[in-house]
Amino acid sequence: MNRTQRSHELAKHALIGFVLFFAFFPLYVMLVISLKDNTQFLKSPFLPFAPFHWENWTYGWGVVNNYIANSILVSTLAVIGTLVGALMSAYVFARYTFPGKALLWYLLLGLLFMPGIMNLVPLFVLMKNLSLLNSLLGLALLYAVGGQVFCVFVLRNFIEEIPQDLFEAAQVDGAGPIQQIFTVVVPMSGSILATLAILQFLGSWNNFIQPLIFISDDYKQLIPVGLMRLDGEYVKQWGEMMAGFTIAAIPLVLIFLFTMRLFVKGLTAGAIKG
Amino acid sequence: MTLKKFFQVYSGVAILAGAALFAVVRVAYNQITFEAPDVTTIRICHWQLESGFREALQDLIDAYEKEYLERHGEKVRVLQLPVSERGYGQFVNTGLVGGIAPDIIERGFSRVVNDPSYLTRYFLPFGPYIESPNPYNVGTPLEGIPWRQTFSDGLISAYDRELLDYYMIPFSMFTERIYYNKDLYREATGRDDSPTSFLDFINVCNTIRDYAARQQRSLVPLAGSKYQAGVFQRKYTNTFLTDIIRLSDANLDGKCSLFESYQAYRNGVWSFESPALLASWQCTTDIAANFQQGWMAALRDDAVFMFVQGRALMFASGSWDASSLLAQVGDAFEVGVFNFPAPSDHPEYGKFARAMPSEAATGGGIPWGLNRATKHADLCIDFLRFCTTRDHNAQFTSHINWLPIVQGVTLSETLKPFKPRIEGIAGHFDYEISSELRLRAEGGRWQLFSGRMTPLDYAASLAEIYDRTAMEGFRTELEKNRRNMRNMDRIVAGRLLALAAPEASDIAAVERSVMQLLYANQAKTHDLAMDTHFLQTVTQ
Repeated sequence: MNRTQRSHELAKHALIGFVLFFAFFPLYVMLVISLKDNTQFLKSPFLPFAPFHWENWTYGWGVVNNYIANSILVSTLAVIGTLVGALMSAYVFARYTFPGKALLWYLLLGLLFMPGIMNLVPLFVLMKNLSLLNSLLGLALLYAVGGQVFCVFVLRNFIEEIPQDLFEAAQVDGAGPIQQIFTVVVPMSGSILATLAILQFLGSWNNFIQPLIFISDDYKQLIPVGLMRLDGEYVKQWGEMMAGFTIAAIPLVLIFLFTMRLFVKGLTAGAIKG
Repeated sequence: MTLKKFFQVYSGVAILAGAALFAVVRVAYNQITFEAPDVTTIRICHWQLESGFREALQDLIDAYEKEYLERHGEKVRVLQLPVSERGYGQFVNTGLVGGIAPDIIERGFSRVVNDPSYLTRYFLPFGPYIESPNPYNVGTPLEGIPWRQTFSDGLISAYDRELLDYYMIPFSMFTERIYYNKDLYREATGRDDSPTSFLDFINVCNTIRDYAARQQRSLVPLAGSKYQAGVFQRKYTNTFLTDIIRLSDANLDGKCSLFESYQAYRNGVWSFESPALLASWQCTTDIAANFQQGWMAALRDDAVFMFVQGRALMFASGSWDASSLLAQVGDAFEVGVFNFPAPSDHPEYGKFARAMPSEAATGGGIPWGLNRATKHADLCIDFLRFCTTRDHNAQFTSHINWLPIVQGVTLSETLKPFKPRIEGIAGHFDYEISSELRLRAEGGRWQLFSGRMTPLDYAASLAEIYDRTAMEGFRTELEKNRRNMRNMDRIVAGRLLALAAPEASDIAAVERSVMQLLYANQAKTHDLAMDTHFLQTVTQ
């Protein structure tokens, strides 16, 4: 490696280090503060020093564990609901021809351009009339419905790419539409389904406005609103608050850790033709 | 498959399955706990996230649940919903509109809980309950006394003058003071006593600035934010406007309403360039000059943080912050409290200043409203009665170091400096008659107090809008008053019908309430007639 190459490598590493520093610094600060009491925090917020207050984590867990459980349940149900519904709809759009198909498709696409916040009032009225306010299942249903459009849009194109012969062969073997979905579409679209599942999970996990508006009981509340409430104290207990934030971040970190491979694969699937 | 491969493939699945299982179990547990069929649950929401409040309320709740079980043999659960200020308004609005709001709601941060036209739609009046004694006072000196009279303000602050009924039950009362770091004060000024006059207060601020410069220390006299500026503005406005209020108060109720201020404006009693009004703005601007740089972007928490860190000598806030502040400061330094000094000794604007506003009429704080959609109104009332006995109010307020609202509760040493100051002036001056004016006044206020706009410029910008929009604002407000009068007539008619009903039981109480309504109606009719006459005169 000559000097120019070495300096290029050095510059690259410096740039990566710079970006990583800014990415990880907030996490570091969160972790360090989570082990301090307010006196230590006021003295020096950024440097770790003993004694470490592990009781902040006990407190943090006590505050956020309900929110985490509710978020996991709602997001999981939302992912299942979204994928089941979207898979069926995408299959129909990809495989069947019927009157008004193009119109329906463009109407569906039109929904992609509608800002979610615009629907808030009609949604609220609808949820109220369906007696789904303040209900975790109602919220999961809402998320599942909200995620349909994007997933149908992505999956339709993906299903259309699957060779027609495979469906015909399944048909000859006596497979109905549902069987075809489970024996042909699902195995062939594993990576894109995983990607959509992760995106949907993330969307549901981070959604703030809907749980704020549709859920009123604290024990049913989801993590984004719960954290906002934790942050609302007038005189903050920084250690306890940061412990709560750190615990709340762990599920997402775990999910990314174990599904990153599928996620990247799904994002790049179809990038190369053939 | 090797162990490593097995771990790689299945550990993620195991963790995800474990997380899902935890979620299902936890949610099911909550469902069983909080929605058990044999337990009656009422929910109570508030935004009081000050240190100790939730624990103090929870103590009351625990005691109530226990006592209720002993008295009635039935289980009751009171669920506390603390929501931060930031989302409280939206939380309450959507809850009320959607029919999922808690049973007992702390009123605030939303027009829906303050505007009379919404108030009747979503909240139950306490009128029918407060004239009978609180059953939890049996065996105490307050036994047999109507519930209303057991509050130190006689629930005057709970009375809605437009709806002619009581719409809240308070748990505490609040006053505002200046907190200061005694150790730092002693070190910088060499004194032990707090500032005794306004000029002395300004001198202390100057001394602190010099001291900080000498010591090359990051220290300001006052911790500031918009919230803190608001506190000073509240304290230092009416003291300058006493004469204007006196000359404008046509119905002699001690206050200057939007209508009265407009009529006085037209009659030349005051203008936006009145020296007294300019002086009131200048006074707050002078005080705000002692805040840290960039205070307009700071939040209330930031100001607390500065004070606690010893980067500000003083900090203005209410008694509601005492407990949080003392907990936060700990042993770091001694905290002192003093009252806002009257600016009458100031060489420039002192001549316009009268005494500081009196706190004799300090009303109840933490205003609990009763959701009209509640299925357990009687239980909610019972809970509120339980909480407002002398013993329980004392227990609650001593836990958080807040002023008690029930008569006869003794003040602790910490709270004595916050005791309402009886002497001083009363009155209020309101001129923000149109939405445009309110917006301008609010937006320009911060520019004014931060010194980026002079009082004269601020006055000119308000005068231009006032001249253009006040008449329309007057009409709108008048129409609102007429609507309220019609509602009041309906209420009177309803009560008269109740009086005429053969099954009417407490005739004396209904008669009394009708008489009160008619009396209030008479005063309002008089005001309305005066305002209508004025409008006709100026539009002819």
